[in-house]
Parts: sequence; C-alpha cells; structure tokens
Amino acid sequence: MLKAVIIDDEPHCINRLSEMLADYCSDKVQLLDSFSSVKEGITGILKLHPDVVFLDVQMNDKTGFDLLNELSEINFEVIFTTAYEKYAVQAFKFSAIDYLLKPVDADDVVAAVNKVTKKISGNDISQKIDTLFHNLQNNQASKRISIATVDGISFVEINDIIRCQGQINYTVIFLKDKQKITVAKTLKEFEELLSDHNFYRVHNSHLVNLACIKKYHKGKGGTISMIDHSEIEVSSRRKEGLLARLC
Amino acid sequence: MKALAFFSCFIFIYCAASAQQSIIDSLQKKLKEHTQQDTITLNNLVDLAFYYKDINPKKGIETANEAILLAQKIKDEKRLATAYNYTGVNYTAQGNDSTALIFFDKSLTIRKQLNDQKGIASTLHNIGMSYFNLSDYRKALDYQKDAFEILKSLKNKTGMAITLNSIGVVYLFLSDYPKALDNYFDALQIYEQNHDEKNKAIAFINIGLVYKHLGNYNKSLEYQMKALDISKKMDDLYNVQNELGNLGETYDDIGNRKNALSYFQQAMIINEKLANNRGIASNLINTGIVYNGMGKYDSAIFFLNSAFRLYRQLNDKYGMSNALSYISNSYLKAPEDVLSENGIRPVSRYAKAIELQQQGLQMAHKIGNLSTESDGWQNLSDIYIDQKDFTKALEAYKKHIAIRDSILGNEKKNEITRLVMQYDFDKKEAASKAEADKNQTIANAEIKRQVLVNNLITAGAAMLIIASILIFIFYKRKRDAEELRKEAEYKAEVADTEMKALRAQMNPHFIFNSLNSIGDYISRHDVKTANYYLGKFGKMMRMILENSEHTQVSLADDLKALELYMQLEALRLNGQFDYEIKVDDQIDQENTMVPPLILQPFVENSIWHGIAQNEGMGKILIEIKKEDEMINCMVEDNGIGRLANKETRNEKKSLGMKITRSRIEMMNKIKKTKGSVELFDIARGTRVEVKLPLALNF
Repeated sequence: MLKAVIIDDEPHCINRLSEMLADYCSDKVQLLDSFSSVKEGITGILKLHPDVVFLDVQMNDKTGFDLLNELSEINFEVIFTTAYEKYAVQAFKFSAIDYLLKPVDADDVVAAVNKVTKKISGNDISQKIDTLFHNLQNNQASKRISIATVDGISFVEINDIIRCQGQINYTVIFLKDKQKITVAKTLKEFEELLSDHNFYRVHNSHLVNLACIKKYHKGKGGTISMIDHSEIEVSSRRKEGLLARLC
Repeated sequence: MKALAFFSCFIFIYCAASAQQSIIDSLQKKLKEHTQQDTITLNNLVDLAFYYKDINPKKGIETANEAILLAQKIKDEKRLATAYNYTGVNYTAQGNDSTALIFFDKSLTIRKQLNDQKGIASTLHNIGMSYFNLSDYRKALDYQKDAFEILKSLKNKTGMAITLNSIGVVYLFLSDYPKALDNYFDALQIYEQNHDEKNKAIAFINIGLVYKHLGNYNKSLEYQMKALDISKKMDDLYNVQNELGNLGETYDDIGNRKNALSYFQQAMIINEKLANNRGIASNLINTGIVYNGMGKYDSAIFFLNSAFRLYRQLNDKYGMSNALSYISNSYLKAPEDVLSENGIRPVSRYAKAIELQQQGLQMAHKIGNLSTESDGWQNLSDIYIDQKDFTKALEAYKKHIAIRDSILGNEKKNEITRLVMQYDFDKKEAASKAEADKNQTIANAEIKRQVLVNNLITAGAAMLIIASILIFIFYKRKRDAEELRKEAEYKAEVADTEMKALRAQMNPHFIFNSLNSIGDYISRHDVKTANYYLGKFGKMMRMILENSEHTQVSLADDLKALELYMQLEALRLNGQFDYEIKVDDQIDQENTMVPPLILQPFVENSIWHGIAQNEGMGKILIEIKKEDEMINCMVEDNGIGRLANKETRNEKKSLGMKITRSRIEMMNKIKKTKGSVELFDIARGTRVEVKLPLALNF
C-alpha cells in the first residue's frame, strides 16, 4: 500500500484526484493528507514521510519545483500534476518523471500508480530530480535526459548524443564517447523529445544531431557522414527538410 | 596607268562589241521596210535600243522610248519591261546611273508581275551594275547576288557566269582580292564547262589583274598569257591587242622595260591592222612613258607627241592631258640637242615645259580628272623650283595639295565603305595589307580610328546583350523564387484556413455535447462516471488541439484520437455500441500521414444518426486498407441506414460531410491528388469510404 499526499493550491483539483484514487486505486494507494501550499506541503512531507507525492506545478506564486528544492532529501516518488504547462511537461519527459495532466483521466492515474508501485525501491528519484532542475535552470546550455535502461537510469547530455537508431520498439543511442545505450522506447518518442534541440529525423530509423553531421553526400535522398564516421541514409522525403535545416 | 588597265577590263564586262554597227544598220533597214505599229516593229525597236548602248546611248534612249510608247499602245507588257530595261542600260552607258535606276525599277516591277524569272535576274544584274557605278558597292553586291541566286535556280549557266564575273569586279573594287578571285574562278569553271573560249579569256584577264593587285606578278603574267593564247587561237585580234597592252603594262610595273616595249609594239601592229586608233594611242603613250623613264628623251618625245596627236584626233582630253604632262616632263629633262631637234631653244625649256603642263592641267580640269590635275600642279611646282621661282612653286604646290586632299577625301570615303564591307564579309586581312597604298597614310589613320570606333561599338553592343541576358536570368530566377514563395505562402494559408475551419466546426459541436453529458451525470449524482467522463474528455480535447497544430498526423495518432472519441460516445450511450479498428498489415501506422480527424465526422454520423436511432447493440467498424498508392479508410455501421432516416439525417450529415469533402478537395488542389469521399448503403447500415493518397513521412 502506497502512502500518498496531494499538494495543490486548488481544492477542486484535490477533491477530484482524491475521488479518482478512491474509485480506481483504493487497493494500492492510501491517501494520508492533502495540502494547499508549498509551505504546508513541506511540513506535511517531513511529518508524514509519504511514498508518493502528487505535486502541482503551479501554486500561487510558487512552484512544485521550489518545494522539492527546499527539501534536503527526496526519498519519495513524485507525480507532477499540471493543466497545460508545456515547458514543464517537456522537462518531465526529459527527466523521465511521471506526471498527470488535468483534468486527470482515470486510466492515466491507474497507470501512474502502477508504475510507482513497481519501482518504489530505487533511489533514482533524486537523480531524476537533479536532472529536472538542471534542465529547468540551464535553459540555454545543454539539457540532460534521463534514460531508463535495463541496468537502471542513465543521465545523458543531449549534446553528447550523436544519433539515435530505431529498431522496431527500442532505440539505440550513440554517444560521442563511443558508448551505446539501448532503450526500450520508440524512436518516435525520442524524436518528440529532441526535435526542438537540433535533432532531425532523416530516416524512418535514424534521428541525428545536426551539430554532429560532418558531410552530406548527394543522392536520391543522399547520405550523411557523422563525426563518428557512421554513414546514415537519408530518406528522399526528408532530404529537403534536412537541407533546409542545414543551410 | 592602273586606271587604264581597269578601263580595258571593263569594256569586256560590259559585253564588248565593235561589230555592232552592222547589226544596227540592218535593224534600221528592217524598221524602214516594216512600218506597221505591231510586235515586229516593237521587236526591232527593242533590239535596236540594245545595240545602240555601246555606240550611241543617246539614240539608244530615243529608240527605247519609242519602243515604250509602242508597247504601251499594243499592251505588250513583256516587251514594255524589256524596253524599260534597255532605257536603263543606255542611261548607264551614258553614265547617268541614277536615271537608269528609275527605269530598271519600272522594268523590275512589271517582270515581277509577270513572274519572268530570267527577266528579273537580268534587271537585278543591271541594277547592281548601276549601284556599282554609283560606288554603292554594298547594294551592288546585294543585287548581283540576288540575280545570281535566281539564275542558279534557273540553271542558267551563262547568266550565272556573268553575274559571278560582276561580283568579282565589285570585290576587286573593294580590294577583297581573295573573294574576287573566288568569283572569277567560279565563272571560269562555268565557261570551261560550256567551252566558251571567249569568256574564258576574259576570266583569265580578270584573274591576271587580281594577281597583279596582289603583287603576284608571275601568276598575273601566267594568266594574261593564257588569255592571250586563247585570243590568238580564236584570231580575236581585238582581244589580242588588249592583252598585249596589258602585258606591256605589267612588265613596266615590274621594271622589265624591254619586254614592256616589245608588247606595246606588238599591240600597236595589231591595232594598226584593226585601225583601232584608241588602242594605238594607248600603245603610243605607254611606249613614250617607258622611254621617258629610261631617259631616252628623243624617243619619248616622239611617241608622246604621236600619242598626243592621235588623242587630239579622237578628241580624248584625258589622253591628251596625260600626253602633255609627260611631254612637258621630257622637255624638262631632255638634253639640249634633243630639244633643238624638236625645235625648242634650250633657253625657253622651262617656259615650254610650263606651257605644256598648264595646257594639260586645263584639260584635266575640264574633264574633272582630279588625279591628273593634281599631278600636273606638282610637276609645275617642281619646274618652278628648278627656276628658283619659289612663290609660284609654292602656289602650284598648294593647289596640288588641295586637289590631292580632295582626292584623298573621296578615297577615304571609299575606303571606309570598303572597311564596313570588310566586316560584313569577314575577309582576310592579309589581302587588304597588300592593297595599302603609300599615299593613304592619312586615310589609314582615319580608318584606324573608324575601326576603333566600330570595335568599341561592337564590344559595347556585345556587353549590352550579355548584360541584358544576365539581367533577364537574374530577374527570372528572382521571379521564380518569388512565385515559389508565394505558392508556399498560399499553401500555408490554405492549410491554416483549413485548420481554423476544422476547429471552428468540429470543436464547439463536440465540446458542448460532451459538457451536456457531464452535466447530465452530475444532475443524476453519478459522480464517478462524471469524473471518468471528464478525464477522457480532457484527454480527447488535448489530443485534438495537439493534432490540430499539424496539417498531417500519423495514422496511429489519428486513430488514437478517434478511439478516444468513440469511448466517450459509447459512455454517453451507456455502451449501446461496440467498435473495432482494423488496420491493414501493409500499412505502417507511424509512417503513414493523414489529415487530422478526417474520419471523425463520419463516425459521429454513424453513432448519432445510425446507431442511436436503432434498437439493440450497435457496431462500428473502422477499417484502413492500402489500395495501390491510396489508402482507403472505411467507416461502417449497422444503424438504420440513410434511406430510413432521410429526413432527420440529411441536414446534420451534410455538415460533417461538407467539412470533410472540402478538406479533401483542398488537399487535391494543393497536392494534385485524387482523394475522394463515397457513401454506400449496405444491407444493414451505411458505409463511408474516404480515399486518401498514401503519404509517407519517411
């Protein structure tokens, strides 16, 4: 049984989520309490030691990040809740942190709770939160992503990624230090994650870091040489878009 | 002496004939015998006019005029044209070429009307001749060439040869010796084919003349000899004397005075036989000039005086003035005994020389022969200098210079015309160099300037053309780019409008229906369902908004949204229908792109106007298949069908259909594809087929 708290500045949101948990997750989650400000939340967490915290991103003039920042140790899972903060959602995705979009969908709540139940033992959470803060603070500099692998979670600077290669339902990430990371995520997910950060999908199975292209060779679609000497085929449908991005 | 040589060659070109007098006599006789105003008389008049041209052009003009009047009277167009032509020919013979051109023009007009090709060629040839005489060499060439083309098409060899010869003469005057030679040789070839020995001789003479101008005296002499041989064989004495005279001049030119004298003598013998006084005079003066050059003044004075007397007899002032000038020169240089022999006291040597020189001058002036006049003044000036009468010497010299300058002016003009022609006909420069006369240094400077100007103009024009081409290319590129940009903008605009239309039509419709449903659950105190529904609704809205940002989304994403929609609707209808989504294995859902929510309106129709109206469990089947380069998206329901529900269905159905149809039409227009929407009434329910072009993302 997970011990949970909800921190949200809007009472109707607390009510809705409480009801959802009661209706669909009563066997897995026990809601200890709920708080409506950052300050109360911190006090509550320190007192109740919850396993999981449903944390609103925007609370009056403060944020859920502020709350986490003020805690010296994070020994609980965090599930952020937000209505439509695009930047925050992007940050969550980068850091592989769970989040729920409001109004919360029942199926999504169940899925999030199930996920937390499975990995409750790990101590990755503080690293993930670190990554989250890194990305939130360094808007200009290189972002970092959390990548869940078979061995645990890797934290990778986006700038260190040369390219990603899709293989049906998993993806291989090629890094500058010649390391390869295999992730059980589709290439499409990485494309969504990285396309705003100078990455471009040149082919059905290739997503490349535009900064790591050494040369483009003409052809029907053509090919590109990357700095790690790999030759990547370019789909003829992507050629034009690629050249537009390069030139 | 060059001038004389040209002259003799010219007589040939103009179809020389001295035996024409007898023909004229017989024609005149015929005219007297046959006085009726008919075709016979007309023929005789026309022929007479032609033969008069070499002997008495004035009479020729009168006769031709008579012929014109008669031809007009009896309405004989063909002979009228001939009469006009011969009028022109006679005017040409008179040296009145501008009048000649008027008559040639009349002749040409009639002949063109009659489509008399040969006649046209003949008139064109004559027009060319007139322009040649008027020193308009460009026009002369044009007309001769036109005449040649016609004659060539008529396969009239003789005519072709005549025009080739004329073209050669024009080139000779333009100092384009290579081209002149080409034409002469072409003419020669024709004469050889025709075994026309007489004309062959003429061609040889002309070729010889060209080689002389080119400074190739060996070749020149060779051809002249050939001509001489032919004429001798044919016993054509008139030509023989002419050729002998020419040979004499050529030998004189190369300083072989002995041979020169010999040929002049041979010529003279023949001329005496022919009683050709003009020829004799020419031989005499040439002999005298040679002797003068040799310093044999007694012989010189003898021959020159003889020539003078003969010229006076012939009333040839040109010859007379030339003879006087050379006699004066001989008197000036002759030793005292020779002077005495000729009845001149040595003390009056200068006075006599001056007197003769002045006489010659006056004659040259009268006939307008500038070069002889100029030479005369120079000679006179030299004499005055010898006398130490510098005032008079200067005066004479000034006149000499003034006239020479005016000659140079004329020559300059001709030279410029020639140069322009030179460019036109792309001639070789080497030939023109040989031609360059030492007297033309001043003209050459002017020519150089002209060439420079011409070059600059040519270069300027070329640059202008290149610049215009470049500007055009840049302009076109810019315009194309602009068009592309506009097209892209248009596309974007269309897509934008499309999406706006989609949001405007699709969202409110669905949003308010959904809100109504939630409101319904709340009023029934079914909080759990209301919450569940709200969550799904939020998710659905989010998806629609995200998809709406793109003109195309992956099939996988679109089907996800559609499924969510169906879940919501199923909830509202208390699970009154089931749905199934089947996608062809051949289709890569992630890589196949479709316009967002293209099927939603049809699913909505099926649910609310097919299934909701029906009793029992509804079923919606969504099937996506690949058909060639299209994907076929089908929505099938087992509702009450269109027919049963005509009234209630028509209005609402048309909204969803309309949106989708117009979206597909827009897409067809932009991408030039063949998307379509079709409705089928099936055994139970309705099926909609939306066909879209297969668009892959990668």
